[in-house]
Amino acid sequence: MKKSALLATAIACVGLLITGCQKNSSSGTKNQDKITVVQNATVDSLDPILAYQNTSSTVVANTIEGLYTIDAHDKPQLALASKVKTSNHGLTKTFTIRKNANWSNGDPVTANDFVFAWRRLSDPKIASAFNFQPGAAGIKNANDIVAGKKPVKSLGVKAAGPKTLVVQLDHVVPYMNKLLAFSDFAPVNQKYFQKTGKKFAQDSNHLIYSGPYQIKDWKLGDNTIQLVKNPKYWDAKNVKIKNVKLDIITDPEKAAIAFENGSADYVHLSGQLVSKYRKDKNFVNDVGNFTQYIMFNLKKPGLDNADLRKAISCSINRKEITTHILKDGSIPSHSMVMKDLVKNPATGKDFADESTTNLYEYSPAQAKKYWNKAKKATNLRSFTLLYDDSDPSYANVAAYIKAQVEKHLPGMKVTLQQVAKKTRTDKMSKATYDATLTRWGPDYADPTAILSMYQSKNDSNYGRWANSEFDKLMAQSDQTTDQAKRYKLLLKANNILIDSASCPPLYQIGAPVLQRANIKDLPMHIAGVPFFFKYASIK
Amino acid sequence: MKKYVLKRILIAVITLFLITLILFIMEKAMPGSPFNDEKMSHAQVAALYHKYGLDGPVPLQFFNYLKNMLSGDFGVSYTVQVNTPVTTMIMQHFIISLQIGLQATVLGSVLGFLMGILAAIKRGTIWDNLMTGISVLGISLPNFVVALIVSIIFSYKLMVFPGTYQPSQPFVSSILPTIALSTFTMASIERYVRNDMIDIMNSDYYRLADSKGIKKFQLIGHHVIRNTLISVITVLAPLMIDLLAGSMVIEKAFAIPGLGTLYISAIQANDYNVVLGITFFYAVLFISIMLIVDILYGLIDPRIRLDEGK
Repeated sequence: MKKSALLATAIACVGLLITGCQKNSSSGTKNQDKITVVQNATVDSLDPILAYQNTSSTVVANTIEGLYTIDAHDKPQLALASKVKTSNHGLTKTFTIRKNANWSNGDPVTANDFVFAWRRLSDPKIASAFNFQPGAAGIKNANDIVAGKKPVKSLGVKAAGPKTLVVQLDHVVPYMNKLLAFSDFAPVNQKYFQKTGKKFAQDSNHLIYSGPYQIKDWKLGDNTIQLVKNPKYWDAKNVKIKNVKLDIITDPEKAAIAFENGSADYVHLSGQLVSKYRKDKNFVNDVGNFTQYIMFNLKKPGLDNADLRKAISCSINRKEITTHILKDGSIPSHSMVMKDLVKNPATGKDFADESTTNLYEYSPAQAKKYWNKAKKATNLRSFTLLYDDSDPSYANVAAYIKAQVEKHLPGMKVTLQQVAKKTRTDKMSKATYDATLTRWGPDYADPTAILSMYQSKNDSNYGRWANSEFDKLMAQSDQTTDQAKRYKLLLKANNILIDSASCPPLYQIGAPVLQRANIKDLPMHIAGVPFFFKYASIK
Repeated sequence: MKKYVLKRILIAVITLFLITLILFIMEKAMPGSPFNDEKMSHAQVAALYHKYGLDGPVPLQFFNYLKNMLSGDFGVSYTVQVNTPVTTMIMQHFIISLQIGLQATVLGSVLGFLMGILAAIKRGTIWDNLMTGISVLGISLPNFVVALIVSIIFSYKLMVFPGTYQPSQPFVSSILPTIALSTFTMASIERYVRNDMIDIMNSDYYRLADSKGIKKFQLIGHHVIRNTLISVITVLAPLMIDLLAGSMVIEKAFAIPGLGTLYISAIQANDYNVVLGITFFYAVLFISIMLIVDILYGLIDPRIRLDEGK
């Protein structure tokens, strides 16, 4: 009796403590020139071409600046390059590197630093996860080099002088400047790289910086990274925040406590915490950079039937998923290309809003119609829906889909299978799955960052969907320099993909955060590097 | 004794070899690879397999791994800390787990020991009930709940300690995790010490010594506590391994970049070398501590003969 009384008292104390926490957080940072940003991904590498996680690319982009950055209005701005000259029908770009662009060790930033870095990026032996990007930027021979068909030295980039970088292109890529703002295009000082050898980027003593910040007392594996203003940066006078601390906290509850007690100024919130902070003055809810969708394996007999896929798609109520299951600001998706990523160059309308209206959205009547058609064409009456454990919400979404499909398609049975993320991707790449919950985020702000994976010969086309008209439109969009025409071609390709119901989009994830209200110009970019601290300020 | 230790070391070597072999085979049989990612092309994955020597036959890979291992090279990380040597990673993260684990061991065992003595000596009084109550709480409350409670009180409300681990303040930021981690040890030790002491105090030899008029302090110190140490060591050894190896829950709760956190990340990322390296390290740690404990038994209680009197 005594023991249970003690336990009850303790539980009551915990309850009181927790409920006592619900106060409104302070809107201002304690310090005028320092912010602490909580990240939920660790740093895997700070070598620009190996930095894969978001936290890593954020650190690289803010410490080793490249030719461009992205400003607070999501516009690319020249950074280490002072000017760029375009010639040869847009196929040659000559960048002039700033005279006062120097590395933190005093060496000048030279054109060779870019040549060396970009060749490393394209080198198939190094196999950077981003080695497709020089090809995506249209740089001459990049795709052939990655495929091992041409030597690395044939990459269309050369130093025409210490401060003159000439880039030759296979084709014009309208979003090239945005791509070049990504961290993997950062320069690398060849002399320094060779001197440090295997220790390069392993800690702050083996890194030099060309960007607005440098790293203080850090080694790979640490859970916190301090960025301090780089006095040798060419534009140091315009860097307003002197110290940026990145704290890696994977537990969202803990991150929220860090915000409440003032030790963090920017934290990501999980779905469970959104309702608690929704009315907080520091609460910001934007859409995030991933579209969640179901990918069907079209190599599985039965799932290659479009009517069956449409029936499944029509039986899922996206609105219920976002408002009742996720509750984190996620929005139902209407397009493979997510909202806020690309605008129509002629009208300014959002690509996602201009997407097809034939979405196979929730409609029990339509689901029944397609199901009756499908039943005549295929005997498939069950399939397994795969999902992974990297996010706790996936299990709930999968369970909801199962319930909806089995309710609206009588006779159809859905088996749920939860696996580790690596297992899911393995099954996808080997086509040993029926259907999977998956997501895709763009590496650059262009529809091709999403649509190119559905080309019939793309390795990432895990659904094995193939459509010659789609492939043709994608190829045409690569060739044209007319932006309005290109936009229309890509929109048409997107609509063909949606119409196939081979990968019905479900929702675009929410990005709820707590951000001190006095921190200005620190948006989270939907594509590429999430944060550029150079433009941020504290009012 | 020497023969016994040598025999144990030989068994340990065979055990370690088997652990490495089984884990190596299991890793290869597991679905996925370190490089599985939606955005990686087949060519990229193939290039990485070649770069890290993962494209050869598995027996050859194992042979190469063993050969390098014997020279202290446990390979590099493929994904968690790209290209960092595994030995560097283990040492870097273990130091943090070790510091917090040792602190928790010392705090938990000293407090538990003192509480157990107090409860046994003051058996049946309010002190006994209080100590019992605390230890029941310590055993019943999962350590993440304790972590939450101490975080809310000391980090959120009073703001005296950081709520997450800060490399610039290794001691101050280790205080809350130490408290959270030590509660179970403290409670377990308290229970064992109390029960053992009561058993000893009811034994014939204790009564005989007591009837001889030996002072209470001397009686407890010399006859009771020394014999109680046996059970303390038995309990403490496995607890200590858990604490030193880094509690994964506590490390996550306080964002501590310890070995437990690294192990979980490596398993999730299929980072073969890191998983193998840490498992090997854990196995060595476990086997060594158990061997030391067995030797300590003999030193504390001469009745225990490790080599069966030979």
